Amino acid sequence: MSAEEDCVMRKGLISVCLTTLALSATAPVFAEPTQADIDRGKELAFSRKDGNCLACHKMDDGKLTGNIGPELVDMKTRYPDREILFKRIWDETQFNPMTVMPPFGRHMILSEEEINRVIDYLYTL
Amino acid sequence: MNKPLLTIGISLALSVPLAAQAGAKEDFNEVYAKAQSTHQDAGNFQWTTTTDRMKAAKTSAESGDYDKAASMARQALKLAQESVAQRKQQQEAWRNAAIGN
Amino acid sequence: MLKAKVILVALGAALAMPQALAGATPEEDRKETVEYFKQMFPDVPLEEFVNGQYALNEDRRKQWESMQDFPPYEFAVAEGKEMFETPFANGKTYASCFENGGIGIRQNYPYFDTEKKEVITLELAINRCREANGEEPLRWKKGAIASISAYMASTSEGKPINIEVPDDPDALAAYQDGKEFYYSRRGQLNFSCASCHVQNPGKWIRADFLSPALGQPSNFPVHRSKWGELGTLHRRFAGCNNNVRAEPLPAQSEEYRNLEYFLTYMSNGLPVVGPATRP
Repeated sequence: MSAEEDCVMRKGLISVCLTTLALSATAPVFAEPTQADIDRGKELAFSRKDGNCLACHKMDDGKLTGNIGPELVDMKTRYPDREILFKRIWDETQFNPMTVMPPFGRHMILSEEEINRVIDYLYTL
Repeated sequence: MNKPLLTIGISLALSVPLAAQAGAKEDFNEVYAKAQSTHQDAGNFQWTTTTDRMKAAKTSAESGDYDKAASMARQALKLAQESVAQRKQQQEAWRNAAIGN
Repeated sequence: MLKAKVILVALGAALAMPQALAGATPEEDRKETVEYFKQMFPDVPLEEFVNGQYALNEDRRKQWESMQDFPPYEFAVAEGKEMFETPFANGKTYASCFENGGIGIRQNYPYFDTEKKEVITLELAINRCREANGEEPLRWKKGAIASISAYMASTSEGKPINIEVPDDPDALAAYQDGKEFYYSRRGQLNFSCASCHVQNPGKWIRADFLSPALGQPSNFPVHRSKWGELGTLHRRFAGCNNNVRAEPLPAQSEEYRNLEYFLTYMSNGLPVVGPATRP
């Protein structure tokens, strides 16, 4: 169960959980992702109702990709700091106010856990 | 939920889940009302995702699953709060993207 | 404040543009918008912008041109003409409600009614005409109203769009309201109309090619392959809002009428080409 779901399930902890989420909106220490984590990340990145990254980014073996954003390659070289990458997916408008990239975390399009799986996958590109 | 003891009368046994149910229902009603009013506050900046969660909350409540209903309502509330924040922010921010302003 | 020039600088184009003053007039907005798109697409003739994506993408244009012999809206236009000419129960026709009998007037819509203090779109005028003659209003987004509107647009083909913002604070407020709507980010996905159609026209969003704001309302009502039929501009507004997970507003709501007013004003001088086809 993700942290977010956990918060949602428990009664009376909403404000506590919201605070926790806001404070923990950074990547904690990471163990090596499993293949299942990476697969899940790809699924989230490609799915239209979740990440839908292909709408704007050319990446991997994605078909009919958009070209609004840059191609997602060499992610580890471009974003050596996982925490920065996390923050940019969480809310790119904090880095570039004119961006059209949705603030995936802030607007709850993806949960913290889901963004982390997407990053696990992005780091394989 | 703990099984009520046999020595407790059948009416009391029934009242335990009913009491729990009543608590969950109250909880749901409270969060749902708050979500609804926050969603209204978004004016013409409402999100479809908020509306969807509100509907899901209502459906669960109607089928008696108040835990799920409350959970959906809480999600709706959080989404509605973000839509209200967006509305407030855009009151000025829209100019940053506008041609000729 | 971000202006055309800032967006263009970000795109790598150098542009000397005078600093626009806050409270720019609609005409100043329009000129700056035209300038913006000219700089973004220097090879596209101005009047071509009414063809949206077909002005910007050669492959799409070829597909489109191959459809022009038998446009899929032809039947709807014929049907619209028949409805337009058929008298109401009281013996009057639509012609009685419009200037010049409703022929060749599309380019003047929407307009601001300084007495009623509101924006009147063509579809609103069609339904008000019905009601004034004791008929039930039509549904707003498709069907009969789109057919009638398509017929009326067809009688204005090639006429330059001529929207006026009269010297009236309420008219200016309606225009400003539409402008604010166009540039405000909405929905869970946090997109404004401008996010796609000002900042990113000519690009692909998945398998959809983004059209420019300039000329956008000129081709309505539009036959979309996706719909398999004609739809009105407000149907499209609602679809766009829905795509970004923003709750759509009712067709002909004040917000959408003001939006149409602003958007159509930006296309002043460009020809009416509706009805048209789009993917």
